[in-house]
Amino acid sequence: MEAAHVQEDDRLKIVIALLIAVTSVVGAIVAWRGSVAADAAGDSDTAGLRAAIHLNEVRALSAVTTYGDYGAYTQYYRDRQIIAALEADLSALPEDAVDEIDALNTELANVNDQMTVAQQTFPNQFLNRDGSYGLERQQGQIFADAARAADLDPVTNFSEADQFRTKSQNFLIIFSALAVTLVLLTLIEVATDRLKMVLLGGGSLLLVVSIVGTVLIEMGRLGS
Amino acid sequence: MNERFKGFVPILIAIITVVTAIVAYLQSDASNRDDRSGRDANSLAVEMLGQNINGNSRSYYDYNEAFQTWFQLDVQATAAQERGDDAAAVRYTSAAEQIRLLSPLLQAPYFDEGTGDVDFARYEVDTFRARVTQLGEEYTAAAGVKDAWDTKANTYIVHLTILAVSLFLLGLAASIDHPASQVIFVVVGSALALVAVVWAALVYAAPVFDLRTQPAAIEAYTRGVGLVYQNRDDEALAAFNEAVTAYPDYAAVYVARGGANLRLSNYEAAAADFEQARTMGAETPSMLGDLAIAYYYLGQFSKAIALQQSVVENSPSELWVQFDLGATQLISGQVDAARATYEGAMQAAIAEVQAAQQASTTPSSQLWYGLNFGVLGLEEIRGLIANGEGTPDPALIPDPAAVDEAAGALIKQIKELTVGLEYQGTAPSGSLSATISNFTFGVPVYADDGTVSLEVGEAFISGVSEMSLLFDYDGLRDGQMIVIKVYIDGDEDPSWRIVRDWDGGTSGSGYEIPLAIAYSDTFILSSATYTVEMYVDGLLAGSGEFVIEE
Repeated sequence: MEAAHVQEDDRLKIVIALLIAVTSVVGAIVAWRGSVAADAAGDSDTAGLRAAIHLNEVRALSAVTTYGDYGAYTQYYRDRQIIAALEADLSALPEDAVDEIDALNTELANVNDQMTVAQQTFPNQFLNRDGSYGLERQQGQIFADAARAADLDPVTNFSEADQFRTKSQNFLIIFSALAVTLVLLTLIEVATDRLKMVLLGGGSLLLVVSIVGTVLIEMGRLGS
Repeated sequence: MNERFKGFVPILIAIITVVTAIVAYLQSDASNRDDRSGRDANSLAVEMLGQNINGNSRSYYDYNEAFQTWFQLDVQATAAQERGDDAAAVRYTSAAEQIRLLSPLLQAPYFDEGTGDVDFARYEVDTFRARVTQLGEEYTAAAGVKDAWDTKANTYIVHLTILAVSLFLLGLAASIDHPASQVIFVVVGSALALVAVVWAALVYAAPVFDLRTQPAAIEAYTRGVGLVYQNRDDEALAAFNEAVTAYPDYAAVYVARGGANLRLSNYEAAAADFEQARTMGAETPSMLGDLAIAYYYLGQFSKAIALQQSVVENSPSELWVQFDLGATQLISGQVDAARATYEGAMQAAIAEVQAAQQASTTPSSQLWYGLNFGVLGLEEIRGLIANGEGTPDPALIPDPAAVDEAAGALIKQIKELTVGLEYQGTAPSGSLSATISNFTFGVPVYADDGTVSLEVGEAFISGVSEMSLLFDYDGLRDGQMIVIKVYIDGDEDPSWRIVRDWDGGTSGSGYEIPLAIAYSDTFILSSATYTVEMYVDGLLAGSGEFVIEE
């Protein structure tokens, strides 16, 4: 009777030792995966911030460039309007109004020179057929060029970071559960016989739940 | 006894381990929230910067390119009309109308077709300033949340450390056989654990406030700030009231509402708002200076002086507060103390200019603002004494004659210092050797025979396009620096300023310096009071004024 009890106690001790070992290994894996997720969250945050900086840099440069060009276009547009009006006035003058024709021609030449200069200080490819300026087209092109060279989407990166952070947080919950499992398994040593089985059952259940939880979190099926 | 004790310690260890795991989770959670808020704050700061540059670039185009071009064409059309060239006037007017199509600033509701004026401040607020203000508030909120979670995360680390020590002591109690030592370790370990648990519970229960959860308050505040930017303080007050109703603990609103109340001369309301902001911890030297101004106008000079002294002590660079302190001391009859304060402020201004010179930079615009502010404060006191009524009540001035005399001398001193610092980098030295007299003004009148005479006077009818300064002089030397400043209704217009070396010899009479020359058909002097000051080597040599009537 005594020998059977000792043998049963030995088996229990082996089971407990195995459970403690498994718990420790699972705990280490959970800590590793949690750390990887936390690291990825930090990386995504950095990428998001970099994208936010790029985005606003492009916004600023685009505004400075396009409105600078639009300013030059405004001078060109003004001169073009005056030239059109001068030409209309010239054509309405009688042929014998020599002095007035001379004066208007001089003014026309001056304004035309100004317009030529202005026309060379903004990119003509954004001039529309009707003579208006494609400001939004130019801004769109600057953004498209910048988007090819760098990430301009901070929101996606930030939401990715949040997902990784939640994952890391969930691993921490699992890790805490495993810590409690270890305590329960350790307490078996000092517990009464009836309590021993409760602690063993509780610890084992917690371990199984933790393992399943770990797999689900890693697969993105839990808490993401 | 020993067996029961031995059974109790592991249970205690188990409980504390569970608690430690919970606190570790809370720490991790707080740390994550700290990271997320920090990221939000950085992201909002970057966006705010981008929006600001973007908006400024755009509004620069709208005002300095589109509106300026329209304005030029409008002036050219008017000039053409004045000289009878109707065809040219039509050409310019038509081109101006076309330019209006290029910018929303030149459309309703920003453009007044009747006057040709644009409401640029409103345009700026609508296109970007309101958004930038909102982002600024969200950034401040996110930074506050980050700070709060950072504090929580760090405090949880303290709890975890205490719990670790507690576990160590309990482990020690379980492993030794000395009963008395076991009891000591268990009691101390348990007490430490209890302290950590209670403390952690308190930290957990402390709420972290995020202003971003009050979008209505932020929106109303942003609207109010935008209205203040447009000098619409009355309407801004309504917006700020709305913000306070939505969230009564919004400190920035009290600061902004206090400022609006101050500008509207609601001094009691302004003081109440600033005091409320102070109790909420929103103290800046500028706000305290404004609170002192409210006390000043309420006649609470001792409160104003105490506050201004503390601001000057903590922020000596706030020159305008130093001048305010001097003004408050002066009006409360502390003439000698006021002189000393003004002297200190002027020395600070000299030191700032010299430091800038040594560093090959230029002093901040706040310096000139501060000096100008100092003069305005003293002129206000002289006005109160002269009129015998106003705010604060002139009856509160103990010795008006002495105060008036001191104010007059200080005004001259500050004005001379301003010119000296601007052109010589130091205070003017020595005394004035020249005498300038018969400071008068004249409008050139062109006769048909080509001769020019001057219509001299102090008041002129509207439509005047030229003006000359006339004076007699004695004791001037060629090469002395002459500075002439023109103030239009009290504000200096720098475009009128004349700086030149004197070349008119030692003495003479009726010397003419043209102040405004009509080069075009459209320029006329606007109806206002023009005050003209003449400085010789930085020293005020003469002054006078003329009026262009409505």
